[in-house]
Amino acid sequence: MIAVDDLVVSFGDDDEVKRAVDGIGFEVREGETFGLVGESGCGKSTVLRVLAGLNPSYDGRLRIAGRDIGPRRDKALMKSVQMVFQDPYGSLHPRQTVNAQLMEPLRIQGLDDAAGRVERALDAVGLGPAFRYRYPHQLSGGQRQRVAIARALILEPDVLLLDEPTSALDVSVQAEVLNLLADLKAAGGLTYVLVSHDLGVIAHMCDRLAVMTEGRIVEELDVQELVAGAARHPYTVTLLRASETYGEGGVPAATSETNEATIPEPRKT
Amino acid sequence: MHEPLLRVDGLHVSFRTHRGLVNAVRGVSFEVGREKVGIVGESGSGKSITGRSVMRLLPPAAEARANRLSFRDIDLLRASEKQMLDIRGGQIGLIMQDPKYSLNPVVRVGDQIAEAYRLHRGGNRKAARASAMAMLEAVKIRDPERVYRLYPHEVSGGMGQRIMIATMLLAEPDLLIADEPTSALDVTVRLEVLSILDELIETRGLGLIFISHDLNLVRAFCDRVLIMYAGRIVEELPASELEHARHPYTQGLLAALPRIHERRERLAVLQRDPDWLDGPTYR
Repeated sequence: MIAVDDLVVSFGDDDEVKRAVDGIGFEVREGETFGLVGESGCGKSTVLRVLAGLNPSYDGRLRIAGRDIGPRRDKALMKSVQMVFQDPYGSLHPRQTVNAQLMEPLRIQGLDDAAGRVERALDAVGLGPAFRYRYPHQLSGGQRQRVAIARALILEPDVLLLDEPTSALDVSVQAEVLNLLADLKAAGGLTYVLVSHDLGVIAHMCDRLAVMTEGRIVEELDVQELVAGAARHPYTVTLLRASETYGEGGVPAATSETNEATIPEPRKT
Repeated sequence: MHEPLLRVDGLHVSFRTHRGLVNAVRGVSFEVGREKVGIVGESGSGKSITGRSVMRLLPPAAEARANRLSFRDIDLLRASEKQMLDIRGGQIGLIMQDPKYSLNPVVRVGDQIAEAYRLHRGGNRKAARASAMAMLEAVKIRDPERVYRLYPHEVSGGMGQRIMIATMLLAEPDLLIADEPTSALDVTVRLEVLSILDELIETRGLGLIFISHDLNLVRAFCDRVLIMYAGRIVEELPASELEHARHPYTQGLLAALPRIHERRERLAVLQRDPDWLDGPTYR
């Protein structure tokens, strides 16, 4: 569904170039949930933004649904790749109703039966028609994220890019949103790319994952392998141990020494 | 447990809003000695407001009352503002979520640590600088001379939070309130900061109130856990016995967590029962 080859994204001027994404490649199969894991600044969100077409300056090859993708995209492509952002407080327009925000992509794409589509999209994310004319401030965090998901789904995309979709939410609400995402995918036809720093969420949702650090993919593996402890790269092992340590009832034992030893220092470019 | 440092009995906090009175905290009682107590709850459960009440750092629209709210033998509700200035930072330290916002962006971090020392311990610049430097070492910053001269935007999140910890511990308070101290940090950095915090609390014999939404984190880090729901403590239990929680809310929270080693088709979704608002609590 998605093939990325030798992707490089640089920020900054000539004498101070920082390579946020430093030559990565991966493939996502149709119908799969692919996870991208890493710490702040490792470039995982940048990869997602490139896939979404929000970051047009990059080097490398990109194929989505069998088509080579250039920096300029046509409407059909934009329709087939949609994104859900981390913070539902920031990604919805505060002064537009839910209805207006769901109508906008339909208008841009020139789709018919707008009212019906809005209703069905709201229904699909478990919000009734009563939510249609509400403003974001009248919604809870979980409801907002549902609206954001509805907005992404209303164009019936093939690929949904999820950038930390639940990290701004409480655990109980996170469970609802993750279940919703699983149901939508089960209903058919979607491929997910999920970015998260939470290995618990990744292990729950994904089939395969890539671990990123310093703009590079250091390991790509199946979730079963990760869970079975078959990760080979020391960084993956550290990440897993850190998540397990407090995640499943251990005591924090890591010292600054053990952690820093396995995380590479930023490269000077 | 020794003599409690902090005693909270029947704390109520309400906010005056244009839609009438909102009761954010409804009769919270607990004691904290020289131990690590976690307060867990969702957004809006009143956990942060409880922490702020102890420091008397509530917004003007809030009103707090309690049968008792005392630190040692000081009545925190009646203490003068002058007394509070000494208590805040001097006897009770507060570490907040994001060092980006809690550090002054235009003052070198070392000078901010030194300022805390001079404010609470007095002494000249040289002594303050020396203690600040020693404190930077205590939070395991490898090159304190260099870090001392940096501005907040030049340090990473983990480093910033260590600087916050250094600032707060320099005045040698007896009680520390940490409000989501590691939520803004990456997992591996989080562990680093926690182990530093843990070591300092153990060696100095401090009391800690650890406020967090993260049940797992609190379970691993604290001795005792208080679960808050809608302004009340609905359950209290030793951190090691969290698996045996009796309140359906606590059980629901535990079940809703995605886990690495326990793959499930669906996550359990919390069914909120209106009875929890005023129903039985388990303590």
